Amino acid sequence: MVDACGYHLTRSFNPNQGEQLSSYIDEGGYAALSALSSGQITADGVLKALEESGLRGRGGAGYPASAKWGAVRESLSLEARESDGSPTAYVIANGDEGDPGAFMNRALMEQNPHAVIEGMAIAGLCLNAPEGVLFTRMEYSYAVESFVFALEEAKQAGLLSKDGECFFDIKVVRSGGGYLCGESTALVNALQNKVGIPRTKPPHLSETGLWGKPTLVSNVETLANVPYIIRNGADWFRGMGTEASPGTKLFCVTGAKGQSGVIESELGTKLHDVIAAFSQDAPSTSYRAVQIGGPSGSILPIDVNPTLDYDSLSSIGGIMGSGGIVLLDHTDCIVETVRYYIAFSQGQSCGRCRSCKDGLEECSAILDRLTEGRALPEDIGRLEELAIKIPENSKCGLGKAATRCLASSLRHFGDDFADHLKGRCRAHKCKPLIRFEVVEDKCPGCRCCLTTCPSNAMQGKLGRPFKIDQNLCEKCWMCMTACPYYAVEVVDSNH
Amino acid sequence: MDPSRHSVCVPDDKSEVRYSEDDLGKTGFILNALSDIFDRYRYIPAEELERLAGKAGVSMKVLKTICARSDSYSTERVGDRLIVVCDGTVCHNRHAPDLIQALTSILGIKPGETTPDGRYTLRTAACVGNCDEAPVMIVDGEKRGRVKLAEVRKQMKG
Repeated sequence: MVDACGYHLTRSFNPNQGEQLSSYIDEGGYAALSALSSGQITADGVLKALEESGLRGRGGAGYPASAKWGAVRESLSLEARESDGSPTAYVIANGDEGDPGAFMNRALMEQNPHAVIEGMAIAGLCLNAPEGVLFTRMEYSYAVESFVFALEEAKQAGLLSKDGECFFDIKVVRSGGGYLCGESTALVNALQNKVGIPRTKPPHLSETGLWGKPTLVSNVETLANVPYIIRNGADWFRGMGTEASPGTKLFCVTGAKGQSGVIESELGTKLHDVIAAFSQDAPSTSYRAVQIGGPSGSILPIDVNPTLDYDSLSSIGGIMGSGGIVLLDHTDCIVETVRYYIAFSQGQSCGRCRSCKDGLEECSAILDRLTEGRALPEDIGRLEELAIKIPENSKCGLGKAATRCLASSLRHFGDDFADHLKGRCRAHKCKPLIRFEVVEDKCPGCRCCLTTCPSNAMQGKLGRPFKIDQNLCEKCWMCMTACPYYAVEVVDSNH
Repeated sequence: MDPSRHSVCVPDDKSEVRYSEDDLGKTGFILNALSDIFDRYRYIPAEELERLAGKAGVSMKVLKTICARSDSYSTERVGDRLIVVCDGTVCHNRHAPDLIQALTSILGIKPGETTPDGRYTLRTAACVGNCDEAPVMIVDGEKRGRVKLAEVRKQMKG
């Protein structure tokens, strides 16, 4: 995994559990929290610093963090006026990243858990919340282990207590609830031991959240930025990134030929500069396309070289999402990738808007036809129509964003769609459009393919060139990967 | 069938999953309980679900809906070995469908099914968050990254 060390979040990365606390404190960790708990700075001061820093939510939408915190404080003071006493709130760190191709939260919880803990505790003190919740995925067993270990360390070192009394505790919840539970209202429902489905807003979670109390739901990465901002000041944070999107962001680059992993870059960095950290090859020759922002993001040609910040990306029809960057090269079929994303969104659609449910179903059927080589000439025109209609007639974000990948790839990769219409897949990925053949001159008849093939499609005798029975062949690529002589090749099936 | 072959499926610790009384009905109790049950059995047995319903005072209908809506909480009994193939974006583009197909033809079952002799269960996952090592296959909870197609038999047997 490449871990760029230039900026604050990743510079504190330490994979050794036992050393995490000391190395975090050495570089000034927990100073902001102790200043706040001892009264050197006030909650208002923290909020003011957040506002000045311009920190935006790292979960995808880019909503200003200070506005979110402010809303919770406002409903707290409103409640305090109505009933005497001091009302409390909840702080929830959302680490339930279900976007395929995104694992920046996992990296933070595993390698810099104290920044997350300190950020949550600062939020807890500012918003009068004695309890925080880390909501994460069941699959992240090592991340949970690291986080719990770090939490115990911090508690034992007395960092979360004042005058011997613990002022903030974190409960870790491991969810297997699925993609939709990442939506904040669905998340709160799931935490209240109910079925995790979204509810309509308002009331917003800042008014009525977990157990009816004002609740701050924030991405793990957003919270991890908070202690650094308090410690180093808003100006320091503003010194990175752009005017509208200050600071740094963790990006997950996957699909790169060299390596893949998490990288921290200033917002406003060009895509090619981010890729350069992973592979030495020139991006324009190594890759064809880039997919940014998960299932609701767009697919762009690599040469567009987009600027990675919230506003630049939306101006070219993309979104930041959680920061997942998937690189596609000449072996990746654009049409098949779009089919995969549309099928994913179709599976997540709740079915309330007809345009989303039926429209995505029709898109899926057409894309299935295209990848199976039985598309009709009018299909592409229909896809273009659907790509405009579905977002227009859908109420929620899922339907509005689901066809973004389809629209962008139709615009930029029309040739791929035209090829599939003719029954050709240039990436040799769509199985009905390809065929495997053994090159006789290269095959010495070593039987490697015979022993590997799961469907007994290899025919021949030891020492003589083999043949593939096309009726039995399941096009699983196993013979090709098993052959030491590179004698198996793929050809267009109607060639 | 030799009963000892099922040793992987039946946990060594025969006692039921225990819940702390303090946590009952608290934040995220059901999710954590289901995750604990899943960790122990690798699926959610009906008896444990009923016990949880009684303990937490939540109806079976709600629990079943939570399991049905989830990608992870499977209520189907698993075989001796559980093979999960990740089919997230990156794995999908890195031959995960071919891995699934190869396993399907080797085992003779579709994803989500268990072989009739109870030895293997094949499942797919939406994304296990290890995209940096795509394609990823999880055999009995152990992650295997960068799985090669030609090695699928070896990986499968552990």
